Amino acid sequence: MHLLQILLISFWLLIVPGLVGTLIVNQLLKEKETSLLLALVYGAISMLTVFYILVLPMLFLRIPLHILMICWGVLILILCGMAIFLNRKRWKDIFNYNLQQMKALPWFAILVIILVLGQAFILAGYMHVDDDDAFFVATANTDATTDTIFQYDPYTGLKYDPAPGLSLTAFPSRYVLSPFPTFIALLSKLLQSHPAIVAHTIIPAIFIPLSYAILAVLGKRLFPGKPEAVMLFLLFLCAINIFGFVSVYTNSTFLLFRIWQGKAVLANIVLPATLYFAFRAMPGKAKIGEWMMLFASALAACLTSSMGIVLAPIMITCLGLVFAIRNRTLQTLKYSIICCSPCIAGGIVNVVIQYLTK
Amino acid sequence: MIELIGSTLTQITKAYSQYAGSGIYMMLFFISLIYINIWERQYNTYNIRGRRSENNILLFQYPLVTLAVIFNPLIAVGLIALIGPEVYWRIFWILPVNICIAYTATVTIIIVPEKARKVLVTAALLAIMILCGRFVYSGNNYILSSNLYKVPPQTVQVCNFLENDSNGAEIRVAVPPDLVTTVRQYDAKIQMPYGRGGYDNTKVENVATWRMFLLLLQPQLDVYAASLAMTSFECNYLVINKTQTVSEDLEKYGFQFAAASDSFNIYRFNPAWITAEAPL
Repeated sequence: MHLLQILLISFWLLIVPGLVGTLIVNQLLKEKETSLLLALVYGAISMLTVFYILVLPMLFLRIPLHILMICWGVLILILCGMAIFLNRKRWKDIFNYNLQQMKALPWFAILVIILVLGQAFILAGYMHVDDDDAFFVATANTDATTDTIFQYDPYTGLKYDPAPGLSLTAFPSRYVLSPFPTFIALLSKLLQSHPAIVAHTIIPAIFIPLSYAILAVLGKRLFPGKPEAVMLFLLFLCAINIFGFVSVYTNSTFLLFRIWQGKAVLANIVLPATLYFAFRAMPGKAKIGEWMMLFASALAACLTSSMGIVLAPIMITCLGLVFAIRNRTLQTLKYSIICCSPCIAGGIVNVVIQYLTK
Repeated sequence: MIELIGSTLTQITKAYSQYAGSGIYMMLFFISLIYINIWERQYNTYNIRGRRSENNILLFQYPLVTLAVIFNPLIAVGLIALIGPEVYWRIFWILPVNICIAYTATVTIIIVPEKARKVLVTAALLAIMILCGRFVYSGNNYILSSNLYKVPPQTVQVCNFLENDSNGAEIRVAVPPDLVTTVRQYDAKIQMPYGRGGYDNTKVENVATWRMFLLLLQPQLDVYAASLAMTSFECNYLVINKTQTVSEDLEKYGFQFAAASDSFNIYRFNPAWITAEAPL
């Protein structure tokens, strides 16, 4: 891997989500302190959400992938520019705060970091053969090679529907509303790497630590002001994941076997993020920004997998219900249902497409 | 109605077994739920005006409500109709199983008074998790890859040969099952008549492609049938496993040996090369 590619990976998958996240943490949520870990989580989910908003109409309008890449890239870079400009007087404070937070970590935080990076680099360095890649990675590669969005059958390389124009029924109904492989194709263009390398090598190195970053910010919320407890919490989560191969269907196996597939991203990044965002939005008086991020996570769930269209609303509604009872107000439930609306809309469209294609 | 509920319950149980595997981690999860409820009542200082703490809501009440949804046959019947019975196990992903177990272990250590005891209890809890689970890096789950693409080296060999041999012309190749899932991960310019399992990904199940796929699964290749299939699917390359024997002389049926990789023989194909004595 060339130095340029390493720089591009660091830029697009670490610096950019961090910058977008600071915009959310500071300007949208108006937090007093800016945790860069929290910014990374918010930024990553927002980038997926922006991608989903752009990709869906472009897919049905058969717009080339490079147009999507330009639109998404420019939009995200504008957000980064805004973050740099609007926080120009805060950067020193942000770095000082995060440095203080790091200094407060217990000694065994090193062990946790080694365990997390170890899991990431084992999957990045070694190979896990999964036949589902015949769809997921081949779709990403097909999109990148043909400069299209979901127009070709990844199994054969033939066009789904050669007739030009808008078509709802030309694509496989199970996947068309969740084009996560196109995100990998887009990353491959931005990172100047082959889609198979992005999926099998780069994504595990970034997404496994990201999954733990979400659990870390959740841990901070569960154990406020107790960095030792947060690190213990992460240590146990590492142990559970590393020894979580009790079946091939657990979140842990999806995390450590095939994190590049949309469903694994759903199980280990988007759903835990949804849980965390709900945990911030639902108790007490929440800012509208917190609800907006929960809404964004519902959109990200739709992007990653068709299961996300079903699982995210169940999760949000169940959380909304228990917190509505606790808060003794129906407002929590009302906002929860609003947050589910992208999934509900996606579900209706999915049913319509399935009906039309039968 | 009772029959429907019965069959739904069977599907829920099956999904649970699929997800839980040995079931020990799920048992730890259920124990954690009870523990969290008791611990939160006794020790948590974050309660507001007598209400349950936020942690209790998230890690006890929310999982309880979710379990009630997952195991409720009246709700599950709708969900199964929507997502399909074969993937209903994925609904367990919305349960914070790992989070609850890790939280329980952490709060157990918080209430242990001395540092030395904390270390001992941590070690004991880690030991429980290790003994109850199964090591993810065991067996053949991970293998060393010779390339960053993480596709088998045979795939790279075959695809590179096809690209060089075709001189930029369209490639349509029939490959054996060993290669079928990885060829287009590595090179999406290459077309194939079928993909994983012998099917394409369109709505129409193509029996003809599946039959062609089966030809390459047999110990002996039926050359006549292969030539017919190659012609009908407009393929210009055939890759067969070196261990597969052939029923007749391949050259008579339009095949021309092109190269051999470590495990496969690669043939060019052109219907115009079929000799007159071939019974096509």
